[in-house]
Order: sequence, then structure tokens, then C-alpha cells
Amino acid sequence: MTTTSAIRLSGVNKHYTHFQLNDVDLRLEKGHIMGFIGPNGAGKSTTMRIIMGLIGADSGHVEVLGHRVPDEQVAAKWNIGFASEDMRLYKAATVGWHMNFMKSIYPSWDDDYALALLSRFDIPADLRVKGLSHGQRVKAGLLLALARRPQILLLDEPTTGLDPVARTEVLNELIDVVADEDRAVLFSSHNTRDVEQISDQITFLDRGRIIDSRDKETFLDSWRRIRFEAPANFDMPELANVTSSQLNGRLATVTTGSFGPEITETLTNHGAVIQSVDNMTLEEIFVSEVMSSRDGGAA
Amino acid sequence: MEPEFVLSQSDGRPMYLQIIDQIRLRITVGDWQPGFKLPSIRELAVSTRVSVITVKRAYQELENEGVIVTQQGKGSFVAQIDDLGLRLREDELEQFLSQAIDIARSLGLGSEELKTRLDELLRKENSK
Amino acid sequence: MNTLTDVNQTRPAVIIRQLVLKDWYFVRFPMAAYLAIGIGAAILMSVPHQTAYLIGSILLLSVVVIVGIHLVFGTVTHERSQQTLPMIMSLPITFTQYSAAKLIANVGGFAIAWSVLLAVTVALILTRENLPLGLLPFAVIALTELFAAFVVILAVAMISESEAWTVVTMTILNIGISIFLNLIGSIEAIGTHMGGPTAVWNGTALLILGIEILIIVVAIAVTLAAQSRKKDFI
Repeated sequence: MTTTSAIRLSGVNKHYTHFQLNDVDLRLEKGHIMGFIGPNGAGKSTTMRIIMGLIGADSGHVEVLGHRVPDEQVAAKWNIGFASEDMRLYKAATVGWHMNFMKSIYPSWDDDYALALLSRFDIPADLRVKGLSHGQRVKAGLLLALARRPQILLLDEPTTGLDPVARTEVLNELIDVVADEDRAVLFSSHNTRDVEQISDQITFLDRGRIIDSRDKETFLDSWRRIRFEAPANFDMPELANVTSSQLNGRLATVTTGSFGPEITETLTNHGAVIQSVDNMTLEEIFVSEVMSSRDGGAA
Repeated sequence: MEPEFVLSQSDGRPMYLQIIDQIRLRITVGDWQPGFKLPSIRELAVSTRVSVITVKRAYQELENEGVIVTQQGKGSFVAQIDDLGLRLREDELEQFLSQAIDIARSLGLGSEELKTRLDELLRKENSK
Repeated sequence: MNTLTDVNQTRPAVIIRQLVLKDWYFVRFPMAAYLAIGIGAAILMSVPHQTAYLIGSILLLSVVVIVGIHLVFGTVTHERSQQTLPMIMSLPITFTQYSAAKLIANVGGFAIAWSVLLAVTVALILTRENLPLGLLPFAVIALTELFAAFVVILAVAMISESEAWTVVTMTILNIGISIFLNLIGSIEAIGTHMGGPTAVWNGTALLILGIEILIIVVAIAVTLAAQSRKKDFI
């Protein structure tokens, strides 16, 4: 058994006139799903294109299953199924034509699976792409990536613009992929609920930088919102890793990204009466991280 | 075998706790007897549509509590403990009681006051 | 599972062939139509009437030019503007292989249409009495010039990745055709033999033809070299 990572980036930089990808480090192991979260323009698509070899990094190291990109991009691309929002199919051709085209290139193309996806995704194979709805086009693109059963799936916003039923279908397919421990999925989304449900690893990207990348359980576990009643003349104690604290009359809220019993202890010692310690959703965590990273400069 | 676990994103509790609850429930009602082989982490992740790491965490917690036992290369099994179902129910009761104690403390109630309140509640329930 | 191993891969040559067939598939109908128009134009040229000959020859030149424009826009410029390039470049190929496929599809496609038209033109000159044999070198030079202009436009389209530059090059070269043909016709070594009873392949004619072929070869080589240096494909 090899211990090669599915995807590995270290110190990757890419400079554009109005945007810059800074020192991106990323590691995705086989058998895992990584959710890539970031606001529009954070650099998610740029990062995924670099992994795919579609654009070249200015500096840094990129590896897919041990193949260096872009130098060994052909070997890497054999194993990656890629779909992105700005990837279009040929309008004048049918989905069936696209399927045959892919089949002529990939010996791993799975006809039965392709047909199953066709009906599950509700895509007419004999209609020109021109006549398909936006959602059907997105799903057709995913079908083409999925049906060749690549070891790695690299999907840029695969659920954007899909109705809830279609979204669930797509997420289900992604989970099915990692039933095989040798396969891996990296997908970006600004829908944090999708990411929260199926991801093992989560990476936050903002303004061209990775502001956090951890396994999901650690992520959710380390963030808490603490609400407490403050005594009169309460002096907010110095707390490590508190991203925001608000005092509104007697009621105060503290949000922390490294929760531990010592935080509630400190607060109690200062006379606070703890009302509740709440878990946070990934969306709330993401917003907190982005805000604090933007306030404090480097995360 | 496809365990029909019902998980909810709008349930405030973390997903792994929901999985733990569902597994405990199976054991308490006797569906899963001691020695029963649990689905593999990946199988359960795929069938419940949650991430592998979440299921892994749930299994770890259950293992730490001694509810399940994992044998390298063989899989996870419901622990061979007599009356496991009953004990899980007792655990659950204990958890609720300790929560009650926590809330009582935050309200500044002493042990005696808490006991009095519990007695009162018991009397009400019994007289129904 | 059915995941891919390194042995189970399609050879690059096969993928390139699929890409070429793909490009031709999308232009198959207009190309067939142009071919029909081209043959009609050639027949028109053979009608023993000055006006018919003039219309036929203009039609013939135009259709060759249009075939080139359609190929370049339909297969090179559109791949980018219609955003189908990310899908193609995510296939297991290098950008050089992708470029080779484009060159084969375009130069090959153009060459097929061009050869048919060349053959028809030559055949007409050889067989029809109203067309003097002396016209042959001039006709071959003129048609080869169209070929060279096409390859240059293709090179600009592929290297610049810009629709604007492609249009500018296309306009300049197409306006240049009539000037070029007048210029060639006015060269004594060519012009004087055009109406003559024999095809005169003198040094001047061969030199011009040689330069045209050289332009074609250099444009293709420069394109491949420039494409293999690129790092960003989309």
C-alpha cells in the first residue's frame, strides 16, 4: 500500500493584476472528501485549475497522486475527473455525443453507471446541449466526470444552480465515491451546508490565502459561542483565541475558535454567569474566521 | 443491510452525537444484540450520507464508553456486556440528572433544594 | 473498483485523432456546403463567357477564403469563447498535443477543400480551350497564397488567443489578396506568360511558390513552439 496523498500543494503562488494566490498549502488524503469554502473571488477556482494543470503556478509544488503538475500533468489528468462552473459542453452536440466522445478516450468509462446517472440526474441524452436547462447542463458535466470513475474528483461548485433534489443526488454520488478508500473528492462550494454534511476535511480560503484547513470534527469541536450574564462593571478578561466578544448591557457573547473548559472557567472567575455554550454551524464558523482573518491581517 | 438512520441537519446537536444516539437506540431496543457486527465506518457513512470522519468519531466515542469494541481488521461489534440495553438507559437517565444539577447550580440552588423539587415533581407524577 | 491504472490508457495519437474528428464533426455541414459552392464556381469558370468566368473565379476565391475563416472561428476561437476549452484541456493531453490536433484539424480540413479546388482549377485549365495553359503557374501561385494566408491567420488565432487580433490579421490578409494578385500579375516574368499557350514555370514563379510554402512551414513550426511554452491554457 502506498501512502501517496491524493492531492498535495505546498507554497503555491499565482499572481494576477488584481488577484493573488498566496503561499497555498493543501493536503488531501485518499478516501477523504475535502470541502473548499470561500467567498467569490477567494481563489478556489484558481487553486483547482492549478491542480488540474490548466494554469501554471508562478512558484510552489503541486502533486496529484505523486505526479507533479504541470510537468506530469498527463499522468495526473488520467486520474482526475474535473467539472467546473465555467466549463461548457458543445452546444451543437447532444449529451449522448459527449458521452461517446469521453468513452472513446477513457477506457475506464462505465456505460452502465453512465446510463444510471442519466436517469437519476434526469438528463435527456438525445437533446442538444443548447436545449438543456442550466441545471441539466451542470449535471451533464458532472456525469461526464463521474462515469469514467476517476480516482480523484475535482469539482468546482458542483451544486451551484441545482434544485434541492438534484443537489442531494449529486452529494450522494460524491459520498458513494469515497466508499472506495483509494478515491478522493475535492469540491468547492459557497453552500456551507453541503460541505458540512459530506466533507471529512474543510479548507477555508479568503482573498487568495488559506485561513484554515482541518478535519471537520476538529473544526466543529473547537468553535463555541458562549453567552453569559456579566456582573456590573464587568471587565472582559483577556481570552486566548477569542474572535469576537460583545457586551450588550448585562448580556455578553464570546465566540472562540479554540474552545476549552479554561475559557468558561476564566469567565466564571470574573463573576460571569454562563447562560449557554452553543455549537456553531459551519457557516457561522466560516464567517467568524473570515472576519477575524480580515481584521487581524495574517491568520 | 442498510441501517435506516434518521439524521437531521436542523437538529441543533452535532451529527456525530445523533449517530451515537441512533446506535444506542438500536442497542437499547434490542435490535443490535451484544456481539452484533456493526456496519463498517465507510458503509455507514455512505448509507447515512454523512462524512466518514463523522462516523469514525461516533464509533470512537462509543468505543471509549465501552459500548462497542473494535477488532483490528475485523470490524466493530456491540460489546459483550450483560444487560447492555438496560445500562445504556440508565446512563441516559444519569446524563439528564447531571444536566439538571448543572442548571440548578447556575440558578444558585443547593443540593437540598434540588432534592425537594424532585420530590415535589415525583409526588405530582404519582398522583396523576 | 474500476479506477484507472497506468497501463489502461489510450495512446496520445488516438486522443489527437478523436480531437480532430470532434472538430470536423462540428463544421461538417458548412464545409460540405462550401465544397458544393466551390465546385459550382469551378464549373461556372469553364463556361465560355467572360462574365461567367469572372463570377466563377471570384466565387472560387471567396469560398476558399470563407472555408478558412469558418475553420479558424469554428474550431479555434469558439473553443475559447464558448468555454469548451476547460473540458478539452482536462483530458489527458498536453497543450502541445492539443495544439497539434488543432493544426491537423484546420490545416488538414483546409487542405482537403483546397486540394479539391486546386484539382478542379488545374483540370479546367488543362481541358477547356477558352482557358489558356499559360494561366496555370499564376493560378497555382494564387491558390497557394490563399493557403499561406490561412495558415498565418490560424497561427495568430492560436498564439494570440484573441478574437480581435485574428479579425485584424484576417482583414489585412484578405485585402492583401487582390493587391498581391495584381502585383504578381504585373511581374513581367509571370504576367507575360499568363495568356500564352504553355505553362511557363520559370525561376520567378518557382521562387514565389517556394516562399509561400516556406511561410506555411514556418507558421506551423512557430505555432507549435509558442504553444509548448505556454503555462496557462484557459
